[in-house]
Amino acid sequence: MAITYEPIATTTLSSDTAEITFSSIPSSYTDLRLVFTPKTQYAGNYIWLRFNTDTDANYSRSVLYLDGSSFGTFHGNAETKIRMNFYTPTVGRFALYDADIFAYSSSSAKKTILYSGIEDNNGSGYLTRGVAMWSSSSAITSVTLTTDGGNILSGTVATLYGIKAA
Amino acid sequence: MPILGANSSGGSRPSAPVIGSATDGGTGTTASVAFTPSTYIGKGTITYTATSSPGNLTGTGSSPITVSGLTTGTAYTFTVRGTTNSGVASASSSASNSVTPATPTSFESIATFTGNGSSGSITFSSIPQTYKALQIRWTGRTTAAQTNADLYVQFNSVSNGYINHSIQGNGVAVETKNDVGGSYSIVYNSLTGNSATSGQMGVGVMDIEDYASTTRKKTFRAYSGQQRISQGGIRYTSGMAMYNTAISSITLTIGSGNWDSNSSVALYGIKGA
Repeated sequence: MAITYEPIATTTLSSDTAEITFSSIPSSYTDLRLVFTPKTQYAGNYIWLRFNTDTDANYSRSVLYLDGSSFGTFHGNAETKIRMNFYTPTVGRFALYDADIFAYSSSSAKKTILYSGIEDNNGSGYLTRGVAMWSSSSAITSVTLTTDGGNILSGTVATLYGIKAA
Repeated sequence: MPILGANSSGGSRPSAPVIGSATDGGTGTTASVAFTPSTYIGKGTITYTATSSPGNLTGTGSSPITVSGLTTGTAYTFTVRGTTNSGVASASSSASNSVTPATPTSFESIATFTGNGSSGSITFSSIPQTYKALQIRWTGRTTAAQTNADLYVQFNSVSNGYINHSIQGNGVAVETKNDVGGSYSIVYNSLTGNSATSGQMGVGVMDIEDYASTTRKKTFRAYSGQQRISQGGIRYTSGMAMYNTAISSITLTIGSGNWDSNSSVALYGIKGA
């Protein structure tokens, strides 16, 4: 059978950078999957996801979150990008994020994403699980990972996979 | 070295085997070579050897013979020759078709359903039993007049003995559910409906481990959600079917209405090592 889950591109940062972009994404897959292990530079630097460089307020999300002592849910609307974690990442600590981007090349459906953000610090940690929508019927051709204020640090790895149905 | 042709000690020469199909062995470094055995052997027993070109790599046995040590991405043809236990060799068969060992796959697409607005239930049947686990990925929406909808799961058309537990966050409250002994497992609020804005979809990923086992009850998990700008929900579901029968079919039914034309449900197989 044909390979149906294959890497499209991987970026490993050798120096600090403000954002990582996967562009010219082929439209030949059914879904995309993004796996991202970043370190952030400053306190309060969240990790964000954006499509096709759209900076308008076209993103919304619902999340379930917990940190070992409390849990809750949050809804964000009319946002300019998707925040992938409810909690503030620990500075200089690698965390794990992933996102399944469904029907990304559809020209009729809005784009829905399942994602998670996880970090553990040997005594503290958090988990965020979310669903988000980019309210656009345009095919996704680029995916950008960014932070706010500081940089994404050297050593960060991001890989984009394509999943193809028969 | 085998002896070609008739001789006084080993008997007459076996007829040449007839080459069949050569196929990718699925490992990236092997091929399977089928053939029809010699119709005349003469005295004694016979052993068959398949030989690659290029490389002269060999495998022995009966049809089909596995030839190992091939290079991924290289095109090979094969010939087969029989040799008696007296050392008398047949002529080689003609060359096989060309086969190129490909990088082995571990995540394969089995089947896909695309909604058409006229069916609320889909069934993946005759599921191969050759994988370690299954994964279902969906982008879905119902034609019913509601904002969100549930997805019902059944295996092998069995309509009893299902359990599921789930937790959801919708931005307002955290909700947990527990259903025991039902006629299906339920993945709540995992689809949108036609009262939601057009094009807004529910999505999900369901993993079914050890689906081919005949000694374990069938357990799955699902991550799912739907987002509609001002509302939405993310849900994690665990489910179990209380029987040990291998899963050969999976039915996914919308709680109300039919799968609309933007809906797509894909079944994948995940191989073990």
